[in-house]
Amino acid sequence: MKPLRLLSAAWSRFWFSPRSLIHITWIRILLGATALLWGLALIPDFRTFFFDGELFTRPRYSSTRIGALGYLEEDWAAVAVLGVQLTSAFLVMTGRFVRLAAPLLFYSMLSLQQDITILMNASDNLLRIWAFYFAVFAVLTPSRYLSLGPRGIKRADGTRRWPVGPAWLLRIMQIQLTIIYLDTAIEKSMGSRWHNGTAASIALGLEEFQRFYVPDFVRENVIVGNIGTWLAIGLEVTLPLLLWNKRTRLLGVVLGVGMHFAFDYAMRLGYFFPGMLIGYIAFMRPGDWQRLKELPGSLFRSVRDRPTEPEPAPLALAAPESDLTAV
Amino acid sequence: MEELGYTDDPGWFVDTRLGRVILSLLAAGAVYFLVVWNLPDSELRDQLRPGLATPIRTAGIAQDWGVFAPNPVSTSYRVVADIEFADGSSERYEFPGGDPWIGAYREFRWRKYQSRVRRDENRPRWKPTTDWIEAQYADGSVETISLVMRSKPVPEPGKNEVTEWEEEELFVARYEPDESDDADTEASG
Repeated sequence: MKPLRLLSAAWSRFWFSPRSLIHITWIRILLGATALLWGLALIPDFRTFFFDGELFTRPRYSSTRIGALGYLEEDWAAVAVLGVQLTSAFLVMTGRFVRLAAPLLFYSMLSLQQDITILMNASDNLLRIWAFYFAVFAVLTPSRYLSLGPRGIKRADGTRRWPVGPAWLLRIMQIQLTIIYLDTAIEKSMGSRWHNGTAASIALGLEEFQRFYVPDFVRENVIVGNIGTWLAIGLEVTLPLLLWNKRTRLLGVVLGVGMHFAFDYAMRLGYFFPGMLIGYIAFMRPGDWQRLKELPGSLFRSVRDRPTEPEPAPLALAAPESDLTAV
Repeated sequence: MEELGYTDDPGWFVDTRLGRVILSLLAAGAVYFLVVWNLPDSELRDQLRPGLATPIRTAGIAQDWGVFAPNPVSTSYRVVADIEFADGSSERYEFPGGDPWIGAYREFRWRKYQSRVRRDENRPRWKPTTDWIEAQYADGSVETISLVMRSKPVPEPGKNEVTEWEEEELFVARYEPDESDDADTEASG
């Protein structure tokens, strides 16, 4: 009986412990902002992609596709769905009517995506999946937790606080992010170019992905290519471990976000960087941002003080244990 | 800015036994789906996934994270169109581009389209593509449009290779000037 009770308590602690709502609030804001950009970026080509007699003939809808444009085949319906998508993204971003706006955001994105699947990449899937989880959370959560501003609640004396509330959304997102890395690492582990260390050089050489300037030697130098390849797959393998260990969690966040920033700088991957950033926010804890801001100074002091200290200070990313809640 | 220690009413879904049971079932179902759906290609996945397929695809949360896996493709692809006009002139049409900052969020869709439309399984899309390109020339003076796939192998790192673009004609559509709906077509390649 006791093991069952322990298990039940652990389960409740894992899913239902109240937490500061700072990170759910920032997930909401970033999801809304990214979805807004997603919808706005469709506008220049909207007619081409969605109107009858343009680039695409009517898509074939299988029985599992429930997007609105499968039922409403008129051009005005596509415009209306985009209008709903943009409006709901704005409302989610600004924290207004979120319980209604979040499900509408998910459904409008789903509807638009199902009409132009040939143009979609993994980042569109990721955004849609985050929108789905957030929509379920929004429907089941009191709206006062969904309308917080980016700096929390203002007290009468002018100071600010973050209320503590339900945060099971973070757990789902943490598990989803972990599974993305495990899945991609397992698939890449079967690829010869990931074994021989040329995958990064080849990916950087694909002209359809190239974005900002990358020096030629980064792509052409075998050693640099090997290091880049193995660093990327090494991180994808180790990030799940780093992120779920409370002593290395913040280091994992920094490394993971840094890796995706580098990918996004070099390659046109759509919304993959903001999408992954949304996932990483789920792994952050109160006080992390402050620690990150202090990191450069802390590293500088660590280097400066080294000769006088018998042991160097631990990496500043490892916060004092008492300051970390269980992940 | 951040402060712990203040607990508000979390709402009945988290604060009551029934609510927690419902949420627990949802959470357990989500974890089961995430694990099973993303299992490596295996007998276990083949047995467990079909039961999930309909609800997961209907909910719109089916997923596949094999980005650049198992290997990145090693050839760059572009699709362009060579257009001949009634007056004998010609022009090469390229799909819309975009700057690397904000324009990238538009352009990546066109690049994705080019990388997919070239494939043989997307042959039914070639004619609508040439029709759409023809419609971009409002004066109706287009006589033929050849859809061309351009490909260039990515040089192997460290070998100082220079590779060139190669071109393959995918499809030719002929238009009667001002009567684009009656285009004759032929597939190549």
